[in-house]
Amino acid sequence: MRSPRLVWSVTAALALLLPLPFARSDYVLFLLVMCANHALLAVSLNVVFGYLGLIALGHAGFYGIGAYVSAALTMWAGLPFALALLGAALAAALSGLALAIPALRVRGHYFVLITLGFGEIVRLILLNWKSVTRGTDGVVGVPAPAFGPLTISSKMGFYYLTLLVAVLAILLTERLRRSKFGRALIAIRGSEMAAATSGVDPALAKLLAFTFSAWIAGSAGSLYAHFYTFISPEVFTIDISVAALLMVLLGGAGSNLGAVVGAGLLTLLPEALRFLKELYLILYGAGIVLVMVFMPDGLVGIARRLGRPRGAVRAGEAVP
Amino acid sequence: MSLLEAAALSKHFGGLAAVDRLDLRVEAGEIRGLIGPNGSGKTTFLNLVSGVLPPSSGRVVFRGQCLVGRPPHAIARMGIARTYQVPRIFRGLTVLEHVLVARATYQPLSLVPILLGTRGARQEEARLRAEAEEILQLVRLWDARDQPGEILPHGLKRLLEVGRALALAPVLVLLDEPAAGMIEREVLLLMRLIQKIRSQGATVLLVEHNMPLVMSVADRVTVLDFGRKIAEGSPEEVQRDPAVLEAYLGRGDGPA
Repeated sequence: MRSPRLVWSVTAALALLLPLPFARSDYVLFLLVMCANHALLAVSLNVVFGYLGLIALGHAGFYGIGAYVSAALTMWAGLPFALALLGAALAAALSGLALAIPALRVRGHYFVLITLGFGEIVRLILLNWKSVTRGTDGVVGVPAPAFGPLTISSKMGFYYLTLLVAVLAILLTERLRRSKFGRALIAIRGSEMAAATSGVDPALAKLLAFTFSAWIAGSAGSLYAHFYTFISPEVFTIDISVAALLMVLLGGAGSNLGAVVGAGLLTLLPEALRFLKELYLILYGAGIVLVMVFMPDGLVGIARRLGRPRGAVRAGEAVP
Repeated sequence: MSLLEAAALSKHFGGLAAVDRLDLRVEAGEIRGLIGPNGSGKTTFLNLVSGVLPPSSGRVVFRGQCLVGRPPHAIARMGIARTYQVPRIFRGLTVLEHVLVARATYQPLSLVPILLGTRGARQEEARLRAEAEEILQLVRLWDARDQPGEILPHGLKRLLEVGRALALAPVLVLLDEPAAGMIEREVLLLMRLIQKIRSQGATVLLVEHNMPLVMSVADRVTVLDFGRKIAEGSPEEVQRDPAVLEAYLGRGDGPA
């Protein structure tokens, strides 16, 4: 439970680097950038869903806030990309903090509904505050990231940039997980009451987790905006919130490696299965049901089970 | 002044008074047994003291400070630790990590040095681990430190809960039937552990059905029945008390 996770994550990141020399086609590169972008989003959600065990359906909101704030900071305020990225993440983090205060007062289904409502509110603001967001027309011409004289305009460059941010986010998330705060989150997931009587303030721990998670989702949104150069409200809907949740679920809730794998699969799979047309959605739905029933710990859980040598079942494991 | 003082403490669940105008004092440094038939309000009393449940009326005062209205984590930080009748294990954490959860303090700003990976943050983590390992040696779980908590056998889960409670460096330890489901060797270990906790200066409130255990470690025993105190005294006195015998065995002279 110590450094192997970190090693895994870095290995996974390197594995993502490897196919690059072979992926000269724009289409494949585009997909890889989106894989990395979705991986960021999934890693972000994993903090809330995986560590805390809370189903949150509002991450499209943080993603959207990150995208629009980053566009505004570069296009209107003329800030360099690096500052816009930080500003976008900060704005998303603040919105996460603002959402957490009411959302964490309620439990279970009500919490899910509040996060869902948050995502919808953000979407409706983006849609209707036309003087600022240009409504359905969207924002066109978000500039390519520039670091001084270096402008990142190629897809390859963007891939490396997104990958860099994703690896950084994973490193930070792993640090969080292996710190006292990470343990407190897992403890709350296990028993909020026992965590509280062990001296953990559940409200504070959740607040920090939410803010941290929103911060990463905001960075993902910023990178998305500068990559696509065009953003509109229809990108930041419940669909992407649900997709992020499924990425974490498929990969294995609570694992950053799982979040990355899940994001990769659910970004590439729809493309690979394009020939199925509308049949795809049926397959997709059935796939989700199968994952929930047969692999509740996701792909990482299965890998872990297979990786354990036979006969190494430890004493006590059979005890109910 | 008593270490812990409950005054006219009541907890109602609908029409049922689980704890009924209870007056109870626990003195610093003692091992107090709290016994009574099932449903006599022992666990509810622990829940009221630890802040898990708010009382319907009355007060709980600890070291001169009223606990009513304080959240459980604040009460824990004041030095009251507890275990649970059904062990509350944190699935996904190792044995060592369970103890670490209770050992750490959680100032929000300390997250920044942790994320930056500063030397101070690493040193704090190393210190916490060393302290937690010491506690695991005390409860004899050091060998299992890297195992997931949820795979421990039942008796060891209870010891893990005791370890987690001790990690708070508590002034008062509330143990809720710690010996239930333990094998004899574990009960002996628990008995020595309780005595050790006291010898290190903490006070113990022990809710237990295992009478030999209570009678051998407790300095004094309080008996509850229907949420009220029906007897209090040394283990010998309590065992001879007619009210106690009646509560446990029923009246000898009436219709059964």
